[in-house]
Amino acid sequence: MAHYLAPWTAEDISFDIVYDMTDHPVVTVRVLTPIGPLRFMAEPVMQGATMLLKGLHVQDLTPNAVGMANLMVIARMVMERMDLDGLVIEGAIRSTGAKPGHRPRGIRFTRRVRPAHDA
Amino acid sequence: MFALRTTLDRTPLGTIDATEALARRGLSMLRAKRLTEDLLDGHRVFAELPVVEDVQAVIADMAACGIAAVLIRRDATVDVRALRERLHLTREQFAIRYGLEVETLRNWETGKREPDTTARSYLRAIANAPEAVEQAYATPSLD
Repeated sequence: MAHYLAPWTAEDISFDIVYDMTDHPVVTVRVLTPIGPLRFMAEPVMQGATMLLKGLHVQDLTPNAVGMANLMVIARMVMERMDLDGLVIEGAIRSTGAKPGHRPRGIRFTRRVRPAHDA
Repeated sequence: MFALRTTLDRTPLGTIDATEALARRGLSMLRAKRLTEDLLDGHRVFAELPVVEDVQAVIADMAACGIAAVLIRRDATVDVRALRERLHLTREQFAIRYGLEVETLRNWETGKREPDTTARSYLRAIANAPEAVEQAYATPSLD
């Protein structure tokens, strides 16, 4: 149960687009994590350097298995891999987890710009 | 056409699996996603699937996602005489109970005429829920 205790790091996770389940404007991504694969399905829209994920669904997890800290790790990795300044999630109505049937508020992640180290 | 609704047994709705199962049967990914989201909103939805390899497979796939699927066959014919006999009614009794003409009923039973789409739907409703249709059709009492 260590995955509930320790937040993941970027090295713990990787992601790929599932092309069989991607058809404009719907994109499905499989994220490999320490607790197993998760699938995310959304309708991404670019707003400048920020990606808005409309109608996001997450599946293949037990309720509350990911948590906000680890969701942030996934978001940060996606932003870095795709060179985004921000990622905004507009979730669909929850089918599991906290408050099923409830539409969660939007979540905004911004990418921290790390100052370059002096040599 | 399939009528879909979430199951009442609290099986979590597998939204992505459901979307994939619908898209695999010919719906666009967006249409499949929208149908799944309508289910999440608590609506009963109707899906016309372009590709149905096996009705039972569709029902099983949907059940695994927490969705009850029922096939609705709009073209299905109803054996009117068999239906009437199953309900132990004479033509006159059947006609009075469900607001039909005896002559029309006779024509359907003898094959002289075919029920049109509306009549077929009505007959199917009677076949599936005879008492409920009788109650729904009956003139409400004024007291």
